[in-house]
Amino acid sequence: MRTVRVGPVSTRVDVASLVGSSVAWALTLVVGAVSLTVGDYRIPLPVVLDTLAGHGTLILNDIIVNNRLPRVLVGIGVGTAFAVSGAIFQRLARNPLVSPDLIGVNAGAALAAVLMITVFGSGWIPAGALAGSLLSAIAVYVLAYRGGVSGYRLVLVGIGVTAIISSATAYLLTLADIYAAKSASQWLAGSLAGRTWSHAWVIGGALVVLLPAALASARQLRLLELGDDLARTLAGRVELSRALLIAIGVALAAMATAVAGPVAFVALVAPQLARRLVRERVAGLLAAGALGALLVVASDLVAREIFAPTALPVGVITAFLGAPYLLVLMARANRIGRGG
Amino acid sequence: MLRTSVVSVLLLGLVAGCGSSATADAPGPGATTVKNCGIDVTVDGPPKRVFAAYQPAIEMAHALGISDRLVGTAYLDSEVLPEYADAQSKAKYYKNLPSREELLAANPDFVLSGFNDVFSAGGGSDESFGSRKSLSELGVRTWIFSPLCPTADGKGDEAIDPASVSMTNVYADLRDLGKLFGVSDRAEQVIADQEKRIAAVEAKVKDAPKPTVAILRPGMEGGGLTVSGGPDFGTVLIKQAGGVNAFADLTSKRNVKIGVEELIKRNPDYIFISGCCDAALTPASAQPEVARILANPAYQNLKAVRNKQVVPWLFANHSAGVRGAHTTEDIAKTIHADLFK
Amino acid sequence: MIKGGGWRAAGLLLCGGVLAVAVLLSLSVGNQLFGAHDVYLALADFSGSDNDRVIRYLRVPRTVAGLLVGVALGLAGALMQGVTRNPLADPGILGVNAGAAVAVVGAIGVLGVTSLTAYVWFAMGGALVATVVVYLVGAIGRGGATPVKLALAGAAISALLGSVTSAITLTDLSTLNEFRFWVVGSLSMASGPVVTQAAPLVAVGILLALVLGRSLNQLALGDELAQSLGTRVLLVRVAAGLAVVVLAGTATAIAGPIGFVGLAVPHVARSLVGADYRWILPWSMVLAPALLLLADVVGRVVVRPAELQVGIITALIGAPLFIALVRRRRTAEL
Repeated sequence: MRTVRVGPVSTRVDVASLVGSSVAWALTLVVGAVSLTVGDYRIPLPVVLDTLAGHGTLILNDIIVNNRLPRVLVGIGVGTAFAVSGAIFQRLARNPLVSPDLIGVNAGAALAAVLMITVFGSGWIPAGALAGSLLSAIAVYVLAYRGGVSGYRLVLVGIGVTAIISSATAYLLTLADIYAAKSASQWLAGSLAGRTWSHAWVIGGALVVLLPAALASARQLRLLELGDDLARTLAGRVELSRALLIAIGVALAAMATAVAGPVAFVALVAPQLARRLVRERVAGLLAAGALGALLVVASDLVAREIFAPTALPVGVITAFLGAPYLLVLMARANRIGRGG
Repeated sequence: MLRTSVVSVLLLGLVAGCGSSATADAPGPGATTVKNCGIDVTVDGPPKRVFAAYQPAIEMAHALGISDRLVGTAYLDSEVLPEYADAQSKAKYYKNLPSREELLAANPDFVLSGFNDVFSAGGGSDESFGSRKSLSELGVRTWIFSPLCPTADGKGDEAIDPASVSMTNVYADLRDLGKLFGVSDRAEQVIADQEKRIAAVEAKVKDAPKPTVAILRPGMEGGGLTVSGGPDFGTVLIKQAGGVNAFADLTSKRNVKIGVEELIKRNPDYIFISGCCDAALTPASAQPEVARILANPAYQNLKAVRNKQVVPWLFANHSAGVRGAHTTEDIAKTIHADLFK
Repeated sequence: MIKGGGWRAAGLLLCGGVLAVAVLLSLSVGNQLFGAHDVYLALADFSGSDNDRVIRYLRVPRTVAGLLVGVALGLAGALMQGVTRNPLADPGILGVNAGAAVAVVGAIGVLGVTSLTAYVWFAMGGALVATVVVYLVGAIGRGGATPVKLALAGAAISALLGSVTSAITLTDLSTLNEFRFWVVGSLSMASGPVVTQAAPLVAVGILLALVLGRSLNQLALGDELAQSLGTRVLLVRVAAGLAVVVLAGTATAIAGPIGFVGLAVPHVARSLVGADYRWILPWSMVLAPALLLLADVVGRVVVRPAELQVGIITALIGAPLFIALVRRRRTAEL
């Protein structure tokens, strides 16, 4: 783990962070392992391990190695990506309620994905969603830019752009065949169903590139948190660092949305939970990532098992878990004057 | 932490690589190969464990006399035809399409689908069986009804080529499946029966005037309507029964959205209400929608409404398959009632 | 800006003229084009011909629905902006429409309600709950209900309600099929009985709103000053909130969630007649249905033989305006 010096107490805080995120990662792995054993085709743990070691039948191998394993890994990957992205945005805007969902990333991805499902064929979803989310994020940034970007203007412009794009998405849904509309709605809710190794590689590759970049820029976050004036005198190129951080945050959210759809509330809730677990900022990003992964993988397990045989998308579960928390959070944030 | 997760991703990737290196057996000496929607379907002998998805596939399996080989049937649009009711009552039935895992748990060696969306890859649905290629790697052969061939693995029915929508293609499917399942004689019997019954109807209605028929989905759909356009199989069936699909010229899609005023302008002689999607559904289930249309003051001048020619009907009736003859007779008896007394 | 009571009244009359033209267009333009004479005959001398039926049973309910929904959304938006002293308030942005929407989906999907006339009550209940929650969450803390806090609370509540909606629609194909058409916002669902039922509710909303004009002006000076001028602040807030719920809930029940009309029109009115709510309210009430009906007429002709729903068109017009408003203000003002 990288250690970044943030003050005299950095060592002690790092130990706490390490323990905190390690526990979260360990829990994620346990839940992931359980996920490998349950499903419509019941497979006991020893057989799962045997199959992972390469001794399974063709069908067991298909179910465990080609279906459940990539599904779990995609869940871990998108959970991490959404959470780290959310942590970056919340700190940048100095507002715990700001998340990439609100600034157009999800809306753009959603429009592109529905376009792919209803017009071009579902094989193009990840590429299209990626392009869509980046385009709409750029549009929001450009529209919100007036000699700099304030966090609030970014959010409000994001709400406006989201509204336009969402109405186009809703219109496409009315044009589609009902089955395509259902498949698109499932994607729109955020789902890990049918995710394969190619999805896992996409999100894994994105994390390998973007996570170190996020950690390296995290020091800038602390300066930006001090407020524009102070940060400018300290670091100078505030706008550039901010643009870079926004780019990393958008890219993380965009890649995660591209492979799993907009899984609701992960980006919002995970960083907040992480704050309670770990006070230190750089490690805070990793702790947020760990909690995001745990939240998504556990929710998917719940979605598959509790509501079986009705397969609810994972995003519905994360929303049910995250929304009440969000309401409490908003009330509290507003009371102590951080809500804007 | 980062390093650990990267390493574990890589490790798991390696495991996956090793695991999937095993492939299905190469075709044996007695193999039969038939092309379906651009994909070679090869079986070593007649498949013994068949999974049939959607009404047309389930009914075709019964028609070919392979009911005892069905390990599962899923998603009926309505009751099956009376001649198959007995066989269907003995088959295992899934109300919703099973997931890929559930499908594999039934251990099928052949999947017959009457609709083209179940093999879509990466559609992000728990109701997808996975691509035809990925099933083939597990030794599971697959079949899509050729009047519904998708242009690529995983495209919806938006992509149907209108030219492929014909009884000829249904017959070709019956012959090919007969070959694969070792029931060619039965297939020829079914084809002969279909041809004979359809020819009889066509002969009877040959000189009669051709009324226009609109096939309409029930439901409010936000004040708009969904009708069957040119590429829908209903167009073929209505023609065989001596009528014309009132919306045959709308060829962009199988299901076309129109405004209410467009229906009034076209003023079809008959409106068939296409009820759908439950194993216990009968034409009578669409009766409430018929009543709604008959009571709507905006529709009072429609010929179909004035003459009480709004007919409760089934979506299953206008799907391509062995219902072809049944539906042709059914439509003809309605729109040429005088000729069938 | 138009100054002087006489000029403003004259302007209002002119707006009424625009509205009359919009109504006439809405009655005559569609799949087929009818002249003013056809329209007159269909209304005054109904013969039962195809044309007469199209006008009387399709276009008249649709036009009346456009009038009711437009009036309701325009007033609701103006009231919200006044009572929260918030230029960005709109039933769509503050989650009121989403509340109505989720209640309607629940009614269709869980309770099996299928008649539009029953939707109204569910929509109203949903709108009420969402309004209260958004306002309470947004108003907690320093500075009260600031625009940013309210907008964030609205967006968050909308996201939450959206998830509930998808949980319901994804488990039931027929609910999804109804919902996907309803949610874009369209006037073509309206029928005679629905508008007849909705009209008295909108009338109640109009009365409440117009009575509140003077109090909103005083509220604009700040709570304390308003109080010292004799305004019962809490009473005004509750009355305005009630009017918003009735108006926005009814509009959503008739036409689905239509966004941005409630936001855009009061702004246009304000830029024309100034900050006086005694004028903003009536101007919004006339301009909003004109805008809505014209948008609907455009939607009927652009993608024939299908129709582009009015909710799409209003979003295309209104959202850029919203963004322009956000850009114009300095962060401090938000």
